[in-house]
Amino acid sequence: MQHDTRLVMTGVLGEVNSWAESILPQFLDMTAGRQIELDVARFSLLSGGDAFEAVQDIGRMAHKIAGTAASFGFAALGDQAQEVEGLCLRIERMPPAALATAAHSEMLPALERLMLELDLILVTPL
Amino acid sequence: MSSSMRYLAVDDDPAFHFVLTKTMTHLGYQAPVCVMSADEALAWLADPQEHFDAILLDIQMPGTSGIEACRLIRDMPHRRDTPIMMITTMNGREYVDQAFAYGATDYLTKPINRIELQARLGMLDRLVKEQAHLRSLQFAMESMDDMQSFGFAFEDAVALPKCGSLIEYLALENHLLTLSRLKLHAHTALAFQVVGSGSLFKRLDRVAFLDCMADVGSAIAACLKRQTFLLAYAGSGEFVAVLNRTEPVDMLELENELASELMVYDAVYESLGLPMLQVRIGATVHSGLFSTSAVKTMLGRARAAVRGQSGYQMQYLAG
Repeated sequence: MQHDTRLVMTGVLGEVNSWAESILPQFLDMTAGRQIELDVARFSLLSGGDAFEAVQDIGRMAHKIAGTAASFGFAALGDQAQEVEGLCLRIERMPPAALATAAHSEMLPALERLMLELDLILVTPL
Repeated sequence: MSSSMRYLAVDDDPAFHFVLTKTMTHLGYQAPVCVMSADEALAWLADPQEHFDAILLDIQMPGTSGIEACRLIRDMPHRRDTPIMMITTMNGREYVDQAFAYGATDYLTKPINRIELQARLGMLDRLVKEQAHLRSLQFAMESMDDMQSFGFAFEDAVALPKCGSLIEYLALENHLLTLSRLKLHAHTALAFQVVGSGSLFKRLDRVAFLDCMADVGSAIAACLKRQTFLLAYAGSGEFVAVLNRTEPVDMLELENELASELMVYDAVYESLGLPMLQVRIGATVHSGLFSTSAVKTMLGRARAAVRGQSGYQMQYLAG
């Protein structure tokens, strides 16, 4: 998957090391893959799939995004991923019934905000 | 800057490998050897011929976690002293306690900040150099007659040999620095001082002195085993334990237990013409919620307490 990163980089990477620019395309490729995996897990949750498994998958993806996004200048994305990761860690320890409820009422709205942040960096109109 | 240091980085995220490699090379370090899982790392580390100066280990990974990997690495005799820096996101900081208990040296929070990484790697560099220095001293001591001319200072917080329950003093400080002021307040520090350790240091060669301190460290750890604790040798014949404040210590019971543990060594020390081991126990101290430099202050006050300084009078003597 190729991205034109010119607009993304404008003003965003100003304070980030120049090396980040050089590997930004790889980062965006990986992040696009993660957005797809997030979407798959979200769909599974919404269609009545195993909530624990979905929360774990979403938490794992969010953990990865939270670990590197800020290094590429995407602090807001990192913060939102961190919020989702924290929610997943908390929710996956709940008993099954409470877990499913919290996954829908608490985690999904936060995941929606994360998806919006991902769209901002991955689907910037040229 | 230490371009010759060889690091093993373990993280299941290739994007993090990119970031770490680029940041480290920009800082003048060798690119780390990056692997994607704890199992892969353990396979590398199992080979004693494979040299790594330090290990950077992500905590949250699928399969074997970084915490478990830390424990397994410390079980490898040839990796006992290799510094391990745990890497975690802010959400994973709750796991750091466990990592320190298994022998982690320090931790770093993702996303990595260049300045913080530089400081942490610098600390690992110094630690690796100190360990190499200590190894060369031990080698020299074992191979030369003039043992007293080699060694470390009495005040140095050296790593003790064959003492699995202890962590390094630097790791203890690093661990406490990870805690919030409130969480630090939930811990208490307790210092132990080997009576006559100064004269033991003068009488014994350095290896024998370290062995003696290791005996005391093992005895203290055995007495604390029913509690959650971290214990480190602080130098000057002193140990500092950090305990959970919710599990109060019965000082008289501790004194008696420690005396029993130390009695085990009496016959050996007597046969060597050495005084019986006696250990003074200080009062427990905790961090004030609003004090500055809370960690250093707490550990320093615990050590002052065992020395009878700073108005601490309550002391216990075991042995």
